Amino acid sequence: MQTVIPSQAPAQPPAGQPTPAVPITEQRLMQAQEALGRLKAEIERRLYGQDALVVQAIIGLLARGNVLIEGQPGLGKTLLVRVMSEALHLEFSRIQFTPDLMPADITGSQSLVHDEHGRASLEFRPGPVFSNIVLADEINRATPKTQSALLEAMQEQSVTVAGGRRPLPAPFMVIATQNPIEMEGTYPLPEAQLDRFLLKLEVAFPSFETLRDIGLHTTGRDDVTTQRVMDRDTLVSLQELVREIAVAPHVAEHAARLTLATHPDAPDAPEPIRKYVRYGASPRAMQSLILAGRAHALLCGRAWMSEEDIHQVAHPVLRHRMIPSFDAKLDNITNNDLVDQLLATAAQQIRPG
Amino acid sequence: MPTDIPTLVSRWTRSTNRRVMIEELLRAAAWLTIAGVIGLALHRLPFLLPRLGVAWPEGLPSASTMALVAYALGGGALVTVTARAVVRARRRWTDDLGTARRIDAQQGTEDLIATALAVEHGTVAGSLEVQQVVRDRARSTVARVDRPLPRFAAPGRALAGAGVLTAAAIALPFLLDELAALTITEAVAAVDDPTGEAEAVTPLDEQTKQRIDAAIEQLEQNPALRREAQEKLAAAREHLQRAIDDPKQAAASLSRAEQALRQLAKEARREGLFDPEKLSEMSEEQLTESMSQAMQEGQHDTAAEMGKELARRMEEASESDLRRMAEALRKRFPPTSAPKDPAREAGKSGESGEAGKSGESGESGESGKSGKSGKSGESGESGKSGKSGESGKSGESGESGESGESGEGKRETAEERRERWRRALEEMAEDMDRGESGLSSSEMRRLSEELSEEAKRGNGSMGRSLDEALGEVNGARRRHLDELGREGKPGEGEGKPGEGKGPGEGKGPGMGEGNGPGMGEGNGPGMGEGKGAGEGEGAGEGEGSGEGPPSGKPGPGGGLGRTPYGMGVRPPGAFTPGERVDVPSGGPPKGAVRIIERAASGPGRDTQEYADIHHEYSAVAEAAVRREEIPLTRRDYIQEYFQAVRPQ
Repeated sequence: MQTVIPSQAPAQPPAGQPTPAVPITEQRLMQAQEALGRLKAEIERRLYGQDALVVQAIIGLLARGNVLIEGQPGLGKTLLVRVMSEALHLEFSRIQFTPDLMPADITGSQSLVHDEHGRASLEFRPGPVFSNIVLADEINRATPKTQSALLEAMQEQSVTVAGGRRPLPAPFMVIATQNPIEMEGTYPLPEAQLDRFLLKLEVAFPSFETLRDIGLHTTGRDDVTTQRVMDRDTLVSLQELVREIAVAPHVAEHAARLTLATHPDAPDAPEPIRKYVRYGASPRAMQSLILAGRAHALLCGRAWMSEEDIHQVAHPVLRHRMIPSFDAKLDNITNNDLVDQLLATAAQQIRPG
Repeated sequence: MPTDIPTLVSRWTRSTNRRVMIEELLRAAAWLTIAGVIGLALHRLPFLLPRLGVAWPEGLPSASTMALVAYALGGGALVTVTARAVVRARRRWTDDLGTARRIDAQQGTEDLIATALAVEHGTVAGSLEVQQVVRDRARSTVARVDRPLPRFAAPGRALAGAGVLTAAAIALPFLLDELAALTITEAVAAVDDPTGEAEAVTPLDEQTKQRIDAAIEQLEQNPALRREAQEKLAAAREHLQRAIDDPKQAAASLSRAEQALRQLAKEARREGLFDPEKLSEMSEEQLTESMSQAMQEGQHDTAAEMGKELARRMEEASESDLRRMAEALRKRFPPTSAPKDPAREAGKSGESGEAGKSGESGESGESGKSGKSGKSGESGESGKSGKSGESGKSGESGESGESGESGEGKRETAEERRERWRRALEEMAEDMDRGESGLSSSEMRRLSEELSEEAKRGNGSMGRSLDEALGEVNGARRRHLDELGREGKPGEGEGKPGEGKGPGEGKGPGMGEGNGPGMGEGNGPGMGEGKGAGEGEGAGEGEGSGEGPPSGKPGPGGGLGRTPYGMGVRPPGAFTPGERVDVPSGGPPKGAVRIIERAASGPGRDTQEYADIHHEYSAVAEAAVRREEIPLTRRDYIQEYFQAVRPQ
């Protein structure tokens, strides 16, 4: 089931003043839904035929998570990040990962500078990671050492340079991309590192109609500009609102049960999981399920999270957190198939009456 | 509707669980009924099949084993269905959260009610504002819920199956009875004894016939009798006549007569014997005449019916009609100068009895005396004296005197009662003369009810006449069958010395004791003990000096002797060349005699034709046994016989 979020034309963008802290009321929820609808509409105005990808990217943004996007070149990954940052009026930086990229190229480094008196001193020059939205393009082409530098920034929301810890600006979000083909000469992200991405999004190849629209609308004069639909403070307040969304115990239990069921030795694990999964999802996955589910609930204008929200975000949350066995590769079973199975079993368990 | 969500949801939960229980109980009851009917069918199958004319296959378990199987099936079904119902009920049993989730799914509210329930229970962390939003939204949602309970899912197919099977179980025995009756009737109709060897046994003696005729005639004379009843009586009469005209068919004819009377008795109990239309067509004169006659003859139910009809008419009658009716009443119940007091009246009649006017009045006089003695407190003795009197009625009056229930220490006798009724009718006539239709009508109605009560007590009712006729016919039929059985039973008779020379008599499984010096050879599997000069051979111990008449003519005995249908069917080996064996129905193929003879001689008992004949004959015999047309003491013979001659 695909989430339907009202897409509205951007109108009257916030003037830039920070939104005052108001109590969570029906009206505020409605305003949040409208604002997010405008953001979605603005992104979709530039990015054709990737509705699900846009929604999931917004979920990642609202949940203060980092997103790994996998897809073939030319599907609009970079455009998505760029448009999103422009619409939110956030700082955006793009890092093209290559094998010779060094950690300092990401985090920044100390440089020797001379003052007017000719005295030399070391001064920290921040790297591209010091942005609100960082696009780490083809992250799997850099060496693990470089990848680790970015991953540390993702996890800690800060970097350590020359023994000094430097916090990153808020909001901070890394959107990494990787190319599923041309794996030669790449350094696939280790599982432990993958776990740090809240979501792993897959960019589907556009349909015929979408391709036609891309051809019609993106090859003319490049005078389309992205309108600003939300400011930084509004985004931060929405991120805080996400964490206020009510989660009932039975919903949390469902997330926990789902996470446990990804483990092949769990009693509730479906048979395909037992057969094709080597390692299941971590507790962080359960946290991610609830966090992303809360963001999804807010996107839908609800003050409470449902089990359906979990199901909606289960694929991007779980697909990169289960390590398939060799049998899965032999039988051409993807992690998406396994999540499908997991959800089908869970749906039977939660079916009422 | 209250918006306290936990209370509301809890109420819905309880209702849902109640519904689940009802559904599961219904389902279990339906399945248990189905299992019960199947078990019953298994239990009764060995008895039902023969009633349908189908022999119980030898390869199948015996009746006792089938009964065990049926009990096991019933027990197993009980355990299984109960366990299944418990499991299903437990699985479907729901709690508040389950109900909330079901409502959410029904309303499309994405876990709102369930979350609100958790909020109300204080198990949701988060800001109070968010909780309030959830609570408010949930309240507005539950207020819109129009069908909080799941649909009642009655186990329709199981219930329908149980209903059909139960109906079949109830109807089947009746249908089988009808089929069996039909089979027997056909079999009887097909019976013919062309040889005429067997001597006819007189089915009805003259006295019995007269008694039956009298009883039937009494019934037929009733002018208000239903047409169906008249037809049945006529049919019974006809069958009885046939029984006399054709003694060979007597058993069947008597059976038919009895069947007709029995059916009539059943209908009489259900619908009564009287036709309201006929009653309404009768004139007042006819009604009063019939009533008077019925009262005189003690036909209280007839009198009651007539009285009811009269009472009905009195209600609607004009003064002239009433006068006419009063005239008719007076004509049939002429006014007397008798005193009004019944005791005085009884005494008077007693005195007149003592005067020896007539035997009957003398009896009345006795009863009158008893009435007096009851009055004087010597009722006990008087009662005894009444009892010892010649008249049973006087005896009754004596008993009445003993009870001393009436205000004067006595109860009225039948005569007194009749007198009182007559007097009531007189008074009724007077009331009618005065044009008091309501009064006379209610008096007549009261009298009718009294007559009806009297009839119900068994005193002189048409039903009793019917029962008497039925009893007579039944007795005659039984006596006839008994005679037939005796006739055909080997070795029962006592031949005079030197006279029993029959060459093959008494070869069946007889139990008789032959004293004569018969020469028969006992070959059958009988159990009798022969004391005659005959020599038994083979498995049987019976001997056939039996019943040959003094002239030495061979007796018709052959094991079973005669069946109720008048044949002498004998076991294999009992046949002599050229002897004719009758086929009891039209079922067996042509040449049955030849087939049976071949079977008797040995090699033919494994043929299909013989199996068919055996099947046919045994079915008829089984039906006869079941219908109790065979005396109890002879049933084993029949079964053993058919066992002995069964196809190989």
